[in-house]
Amino acid sequence: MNTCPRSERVVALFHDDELDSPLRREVASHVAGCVVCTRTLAAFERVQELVAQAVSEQLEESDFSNFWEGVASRIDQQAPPSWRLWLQLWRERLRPAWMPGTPVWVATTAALLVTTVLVFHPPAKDSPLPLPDPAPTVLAANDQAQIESLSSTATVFLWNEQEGNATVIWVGDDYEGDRP
Amino acid sequence: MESSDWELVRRCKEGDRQAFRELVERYQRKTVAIALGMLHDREDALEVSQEAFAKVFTNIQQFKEEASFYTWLYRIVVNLAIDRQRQKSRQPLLDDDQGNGESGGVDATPAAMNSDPYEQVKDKELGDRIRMAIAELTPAHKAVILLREVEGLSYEEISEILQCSRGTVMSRLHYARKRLQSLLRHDL
Amino acid sequence: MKRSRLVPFCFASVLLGTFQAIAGEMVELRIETVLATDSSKEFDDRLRDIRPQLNEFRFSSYRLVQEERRRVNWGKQADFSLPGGRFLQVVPTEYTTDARIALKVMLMEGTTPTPLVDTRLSIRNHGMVFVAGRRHQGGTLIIRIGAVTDE
Ligand SMILES: [Zn+2]
Repeated sequence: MNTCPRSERVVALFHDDELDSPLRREVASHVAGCVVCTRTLAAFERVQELVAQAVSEQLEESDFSNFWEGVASRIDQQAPPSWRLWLQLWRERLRPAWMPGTPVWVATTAALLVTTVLVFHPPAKDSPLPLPDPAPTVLAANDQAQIESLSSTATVFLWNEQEGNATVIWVGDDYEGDRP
Repeated sequence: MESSDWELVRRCKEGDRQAFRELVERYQRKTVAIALGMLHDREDALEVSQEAFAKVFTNIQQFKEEASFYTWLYRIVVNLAIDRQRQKSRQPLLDDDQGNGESGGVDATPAAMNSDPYEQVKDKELGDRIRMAIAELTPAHKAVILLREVEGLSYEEISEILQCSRGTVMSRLHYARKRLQSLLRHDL
Repeated sequence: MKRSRLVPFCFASVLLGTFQAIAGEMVELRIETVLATDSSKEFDDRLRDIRPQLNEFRFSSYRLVQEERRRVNWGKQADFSLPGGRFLQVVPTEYTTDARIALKVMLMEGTTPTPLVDTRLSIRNHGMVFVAGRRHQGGTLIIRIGAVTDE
């Protein structure tokens, strides 16, 4: 079977327009002169054509005439409870300019509720404090670099060089004398 | 002149339903296309898309301006379609058998098929064979292939929708294409 | 500058600084590929600026085999062909509030569909990170990824 040193993945990136222009030009001229890559590219194009065709056939047969009505009725089903509508009405229409946006009775009820909860369920002495938002996970960090996420198909070591103050992502290649 | 997504979203946030209707009409075909590819059933696809739009409207206040509207919408569609598929796969197989006629029989779960799905469908129309092949993919592979091949989105956009890295998009796309190439080997 | 003008200026700078550190429109990505071996004592003089960092790798010889600089806009990717059919995709994503350049980096090798390395990291402006360890022509490749933007 014919093979080509250009990997299929590069041809896929070319097909998906995911290469920047210098590499795209390079791959384009390679593909033009390579039977294997031309065939790979043609297969990608055919799959795309078939998938798009299959979906568009079904799409053409779909009836959109009542689509919006279906969305609107779902929105109405999810409508907020009536007390919230009253609150909105109060805010937007009924409230005199000098009054706060939230009616006094809402604030009072809320304050009462909180007090009741505190009186009947005083917080336990050792109850845990709410945790602050977790900081983004950093796998390795020094003055130079911070690695936030890393995945690899090989064995990877991360380390910070002491002297040069640089971060190293060591991607193991299985051979003798592999460092570190 | 057509309003931008951003302008329509801003109006939706002020409670303007007409603006939301414009957004719905702009994206309804695209969302149904994704849902169709995921679910292979027109009724389910329409329902899931409508549900997604309703969810978007209800949560529109949480939408951040710096994000893109359609990546947010598509993420909801994909997630709802995966949920719907999961619910359906819990139903007895009998339902799938009954659903064969209208939906072209692509609802059959992989477990219900023999080792070579192509043999089962080689006499069907090309469209049915392709839908059958797509149905064979895992939800994650389906989503990535549909967002790329049907919607024409970039890896970056897909990675945003599926909340995974570009590398994951690349490798899922590769496996999905390989699987489709092998299932549709006689049609390529 | 008069004080009356200085105050709003400082205020605006502080305000901007809270959202994003001020950076140039473009980022220069600098990729240097070094072949390290133990077969000689040769040190390529073009690598003198990073000699302290390279010495930490404990090889006896270092040779610059490839060097490329590319200016890109934020969010735009740059692809770099590397020795052995490998290639590197780098996307500078943002200039962070603590004045770092955030990058998405993928290193691809061979025919496997999954990138060999897929990482998100941030480096100081003018800073660097090394991706190393792959075998090439009897030696080991050390790829230095650097990024610079106007402040
Ligand atoms: Zn080729």
